[in-house]
Amino acid sequence: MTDTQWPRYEVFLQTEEGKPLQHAGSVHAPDSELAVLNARDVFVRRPKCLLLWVVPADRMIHRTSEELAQAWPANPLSGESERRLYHVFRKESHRGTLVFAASIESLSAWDALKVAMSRHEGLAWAVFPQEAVRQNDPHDRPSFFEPALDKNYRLHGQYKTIQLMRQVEAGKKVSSTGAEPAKPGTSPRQT
Amino acid sequence: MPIDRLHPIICSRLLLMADDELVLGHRDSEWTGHAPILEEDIAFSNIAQDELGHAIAWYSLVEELSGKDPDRLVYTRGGADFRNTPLVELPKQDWAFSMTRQYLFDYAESARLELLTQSAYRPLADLAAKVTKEEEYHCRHTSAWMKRLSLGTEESHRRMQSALDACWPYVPDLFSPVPGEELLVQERIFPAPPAVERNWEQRVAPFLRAECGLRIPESADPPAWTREKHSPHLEELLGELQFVARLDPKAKW
Repeated sequence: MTDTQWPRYEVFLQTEEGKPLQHAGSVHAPDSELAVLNARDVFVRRPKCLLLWVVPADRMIHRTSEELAQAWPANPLSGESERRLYHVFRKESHRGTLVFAASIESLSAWDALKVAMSRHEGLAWAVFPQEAVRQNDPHDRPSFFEPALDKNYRLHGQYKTIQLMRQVEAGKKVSSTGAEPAKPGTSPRQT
Repeated sequence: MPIDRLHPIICSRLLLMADDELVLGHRDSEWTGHAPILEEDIAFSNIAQDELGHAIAWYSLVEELSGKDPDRLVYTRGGADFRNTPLVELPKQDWAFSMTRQYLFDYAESARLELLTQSAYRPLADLAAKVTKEEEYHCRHTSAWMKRLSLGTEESHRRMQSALDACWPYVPDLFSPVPGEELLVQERIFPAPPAVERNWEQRVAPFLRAECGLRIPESADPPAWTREKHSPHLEELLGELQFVARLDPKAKW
């Protein structure tokens, strides 16, 4: 079967200083450079993003705790001889997403995962090597992330639809912002 | 010269930029729902939104200086009164054409904005600094695609070369001097067109030749259309853009 899709990349974001990286979703892209650009366009919509990582989906091991309990590779170290840095993410609750748990230097992804699981509880886990990560160039931060900060029209809180509907149903005069009608002579304009 | 005497000239120069961004933004938005890849549909729609945002920024500055209402400028002017460059009103055609047009325009705007951040007229410099961040991102995006499509398959290369051949006659108008602009250049409010063109050429020509393997067309006869005399494409575009507003000119939005 031929898959005509481009390779898939998993996307991770850090939305605020001090908050850990978390999984945002995935994008298709022909290569890692376009994956970073696509990830920015698809996922950096609400204001605030500091850091963006993309990882080829086939470099990431992703299992639930149940799957891990049933099947753990018989010889996870076979073929590996180098110590590498691995990043381990875990899902703490069903509602949450994968959140960064630990960076562990190890001979294999499975080994790193084992160490992380000994320290934390989790419903699901993901591991990938640091070398598989492509991140946004810190140089690019102004053009990558700052523009989103002004785009309030992307925040659903900016659209007072419910308020507006209540006014319409109550038979009141409405203004386009859902606020009380503007006084004559003033013109609220949003740029 | 006292700045307020220059306001009308600044306004008409700004109107060119505003009309460019509006018309281009509209053409870009025609791809929403139709782009070749989902991620690219989102990305290009973002770019369209950004261009419309830039248009709003320039129209708003025009309003501050002249009192002209941006909504009236956008929704009630006829095609003959628009001052956009002909390149942006051309139909979207295939993906190669739209991407090439976007690339050439984004780099020209970037070149102009870079110099505008040093404008002696502060409001303009500030606005340019803000807009330039977004244009920079557009340049990243479009150049990534230019390279990949040009170096892709035989078909994608052929389409890219055709697109470049089709856009090239419209490029000189991006840097053509505009009536009254010399005064603004003298007062260091607007950059001199040759400086903008030089800035643009230094980035674009080597990239197209060396990194994309495209042939830069020989200078051809300039097209029949100008900022003052538009193609039939603009009327068609405005027919769509202004249709709803014109249904009820007195409606409150």
